[in-house]
Amino acid sequence: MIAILVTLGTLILAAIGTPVFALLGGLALLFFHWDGINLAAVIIETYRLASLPALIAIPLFTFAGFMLAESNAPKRLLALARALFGWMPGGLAVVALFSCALFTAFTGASGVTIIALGGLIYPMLREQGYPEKFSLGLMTCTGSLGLLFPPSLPIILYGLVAKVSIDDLFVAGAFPGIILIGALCVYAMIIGKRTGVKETPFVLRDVLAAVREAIWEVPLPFVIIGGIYGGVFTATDAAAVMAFYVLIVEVFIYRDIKFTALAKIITDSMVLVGSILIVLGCALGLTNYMIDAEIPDRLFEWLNVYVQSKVIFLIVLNILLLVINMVEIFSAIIIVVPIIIPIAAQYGIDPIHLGIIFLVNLEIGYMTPPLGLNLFLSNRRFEQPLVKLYKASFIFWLIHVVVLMFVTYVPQLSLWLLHWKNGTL
Amino acid sequence: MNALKNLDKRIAEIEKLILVGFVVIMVCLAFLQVVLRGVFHSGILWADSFLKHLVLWVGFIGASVAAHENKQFAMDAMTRLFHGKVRSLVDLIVAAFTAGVCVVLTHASWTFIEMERESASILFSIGSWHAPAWIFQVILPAGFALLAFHYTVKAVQAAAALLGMAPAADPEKIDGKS
Repeated sequence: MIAILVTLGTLILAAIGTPVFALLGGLALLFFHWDGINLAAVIIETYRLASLPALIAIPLFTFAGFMLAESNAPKRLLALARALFGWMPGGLAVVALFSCALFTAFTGASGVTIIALGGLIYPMLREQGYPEKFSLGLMTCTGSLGLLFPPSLPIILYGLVAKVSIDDLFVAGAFPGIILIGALCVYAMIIGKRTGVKETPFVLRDVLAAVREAIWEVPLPFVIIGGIYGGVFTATDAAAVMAFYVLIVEVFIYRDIKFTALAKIITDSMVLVGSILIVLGCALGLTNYMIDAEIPDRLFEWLNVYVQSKVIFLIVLNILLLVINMVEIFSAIIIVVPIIIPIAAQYGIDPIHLGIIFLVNLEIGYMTPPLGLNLFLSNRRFEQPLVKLYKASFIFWLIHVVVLMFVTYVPQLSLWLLHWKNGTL
Repeated sequence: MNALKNLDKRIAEIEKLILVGFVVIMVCLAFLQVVLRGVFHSGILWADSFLKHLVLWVGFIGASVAAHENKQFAMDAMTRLFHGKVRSLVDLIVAAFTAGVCVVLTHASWTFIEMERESASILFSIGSWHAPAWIFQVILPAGFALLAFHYTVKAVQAAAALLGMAPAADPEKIDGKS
């Protein structure tokens, strides 16, 4: 009876907009109190934040990403990508996919891609004759493309919460990420060919000019992404290098960011970091309680009555994640991952593979009607009705779902590169 | 009422100032540490522990500013449906509940700090100075107290709006997702 009341109360409070951290903190306090444990035990769990090994990567990468978004880096990146790849069939659309993926990875997938790059790319696409529906769908899906590549924030958060190596996750995500972008590129090329859009001719002089413009930013993806894949850096080291480098380059070399603007960028980025960390801090107590109470085991026992096979479990998991991820992705990772990992392990699913499934699901959740964040961002940015965006992004959504199925049911896609890197293949 | 609002704003400004200082220190020190380790195979002994706690401070103060700016993660799809007095009532319930949770968490953190002080745990040593852990952990009660303060102000504002003493909160400003 009391359990029903608590569940109902939590759901109502959540629905009327209570902050997630307060719900989690409140539940943790309540459960510890019921068990007669000193409430300071909740805080002992919160304080574990200070011992999570790679936690510092979150503020550093977020700060660097916000700085890149506020500078003219998006313009320079786009000019360079266009000069390099604009000649291909569907060239501009392919350029859009790559630039957005890179930008999303570097800015932590907080939705800034649609805001920062969308306004630049969308008019270009329309000008070159891409259909409106295609262009809108493309921009809507690119807002979360790139989640699987370093140094994306959701992947770091998954690693922290799931207690698996963040570097391994990045390696595992590389191949599925490339497949996803590849599939979208093929679709873009088909549309480009069919509508006969005119392409940007390849001019070496333009390429060199664009490289010269972006010369200070060109090394960044190579150093950060290459460094992590190559095992030169840990994600934490990469974060420290990137934050310092971007600060120097954007403030002192390009001077895109004035000192006065820097203060606002710092506070804005730390507001995002703070709202993630406070949810994480309040969730640590609650998840610890649930693990002690063997909730995942009980859930598994209950679930196992209906679901015996791994494949069916994965299908159920995919549907569940799609629904959950529409709500809010960072909270979704923090709350759901600690409960799902032990259950998935019972079905013999590797936590790294689960991470990649989780993140591809996140990408799809971002663009799933009716609540996906990308749809709202596009709605605001391009001033188009939501229903139109639902239709425009459908094909892109479908491509994502097909790739998700491959990623889910063929674990080797995620794991072969990792096994090869670790020499266990 | 206005005095309370001003105090709320003033506190948020101080929090932002601290954030700027701390983040600059964090970026520089973390980079220095990578360089020292990578190039000179050494490093500052206390830096890692210090940085981890700096993240904790930045996280709590950032969360407090997020509370002030209504940017905490929350489901906001339904709140858009409410207007006028109903909206104020909903705001009051949410803010009062959140403030209440934060007060209990502040109290629990204080108990935690007292336990740490009694055990006299040391975080790291610089020369002959042994940094007591509680100095760095003090952000736990302080952070939750700041959150409690911001949400109390929100609750008071919503209550005033409900009683018709102040205009209702601007619905555009209450937006969970940034």
